[in-house]
Amino acid sequence: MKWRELTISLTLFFVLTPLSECLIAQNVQPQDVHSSKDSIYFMPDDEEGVYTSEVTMKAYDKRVHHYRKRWESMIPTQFVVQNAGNMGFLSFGVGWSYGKRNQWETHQLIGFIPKYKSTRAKVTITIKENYIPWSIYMGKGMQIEPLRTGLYLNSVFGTEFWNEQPSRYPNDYYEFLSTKFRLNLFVGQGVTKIVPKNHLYLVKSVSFFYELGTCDLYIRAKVQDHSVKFWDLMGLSLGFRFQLL
Amino acid sequence: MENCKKNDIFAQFFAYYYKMMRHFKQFFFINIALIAGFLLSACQSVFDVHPYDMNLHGEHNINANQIARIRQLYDTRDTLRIAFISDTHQWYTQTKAEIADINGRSNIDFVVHCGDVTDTGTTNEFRMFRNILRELKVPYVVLLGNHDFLGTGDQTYEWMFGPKNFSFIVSRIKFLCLDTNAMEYDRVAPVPDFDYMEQQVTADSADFDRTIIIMHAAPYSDEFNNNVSRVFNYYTLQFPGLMCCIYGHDHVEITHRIYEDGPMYHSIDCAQHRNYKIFTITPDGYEVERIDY
Repeated sequence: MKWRELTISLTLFFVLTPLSECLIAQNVQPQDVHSSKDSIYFMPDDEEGVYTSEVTMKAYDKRVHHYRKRWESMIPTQFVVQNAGNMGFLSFGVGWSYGKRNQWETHQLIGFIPKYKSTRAKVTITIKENYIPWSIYMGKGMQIEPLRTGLYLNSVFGTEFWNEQPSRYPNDYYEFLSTKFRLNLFVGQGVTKIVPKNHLYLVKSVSFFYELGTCDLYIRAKVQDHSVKFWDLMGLSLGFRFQLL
Repeated sequence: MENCKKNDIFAQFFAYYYKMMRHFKQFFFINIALIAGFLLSACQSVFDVHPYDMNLHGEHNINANQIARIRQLYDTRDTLRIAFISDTHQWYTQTKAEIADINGRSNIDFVVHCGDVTDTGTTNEFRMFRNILRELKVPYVVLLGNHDFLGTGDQTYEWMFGPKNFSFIVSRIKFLCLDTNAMEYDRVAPVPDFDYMEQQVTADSADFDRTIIIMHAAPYSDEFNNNVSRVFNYYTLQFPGLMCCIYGHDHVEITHRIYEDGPMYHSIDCAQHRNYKIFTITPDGYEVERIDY
């Protein structure tokens, strides 16, 4: 049983939620917010004040523009905190959202595994790809994501773990096995609270999500013996996503 | 466009979903809370930190506790009936059938597992194996197999079951359980530990007349440090009244003499092949019975 982690996570949730509420006002009109190409788009206050003029772009200007645009796409748009999910007790990192409706996300996370009953604590790194097909605006700045799914590759540091079996073993002794790298799959849901523009301070929106996931080794166990209980192999993960850009 | 949308089941479903959510948004969060509550109660281990996290609770140091039980129950017996099982890996259906078969026999005194209780050494596998083993009505001890070394598996074994080399004496018979998985240490660690064996020859020598040596990997197998195979034979022969050696690892059921001048070696089959062995030890000797279940 892992009720200690559950208690800590729920406490974190109940502490962090009111904190994020401080950043968020209650009376946002739906027309203030659009889910267009940008993750969140705010209509300008005074549209009459916007005027356009002809701009002549030289080849050099175009090149600089493209150069900046390319490098700007490398700026992380999200900050993510997540617990469990076979990547450590707590993981945090940055993420990039992209696609027509920002339905794709790539997260790069670093997590730690406490010592527990082993000889030492460990560090893990994760590269995670999320797919969020639908974001439904509910009014009052609330948005729900009825499905989030994806996969991630986790690597754990330590001499106990190897990527390929060390040379001491005969060929294919532990077939198709790496103790260092784990491929995980997950499905989950999320809710997003959008910060109204008159309260914009740190982040554009705060999301809470949960994910149910399993890793390749557990799927292998289930394939080898069907009597393994489904819930013994599934793990729950809770997280927060802060949209920065 | 309209026609196209009607045919699209997904679009229809999500249009309905969207409509419902707009109407019952106040219930959405209650729903989430209910689903989360259900999930939390359904997951026995709610949050998976890592497959090799060793986030373990509950029963540990099992071998020492079970040995105390064995000594308390059977120390004055003339005849011992011991079931030897091995290499259960992730064949949980077969392992459960094996355990049920042992539980169905009233005359078995205790069970020895010759190692490889997991396939990949993950904490979850150890946990699931512990739950299955708990069903046994009789006491049991578990040896360390080569698969149990993977990742943090050997540390998990030491926490859950105890030291890698151990011995116990029941009704004047010494059961010596050895870690022979030399390849897992790249053959640089003292495995098999001759210092330990030498010390065990004389330790409590007043309390035992006969010896049975149990290991996971037999001499001349891929795991064994075969540079010292003959030395190992020499050391086994130092034990008073050595009856036989018992091992697993090979997934075969065989009885043979590995050394011409050595003791009889009995191999225990894996759970997948659905057979195990019962040893009946009398004051005059021992008998082996193969059980298919």
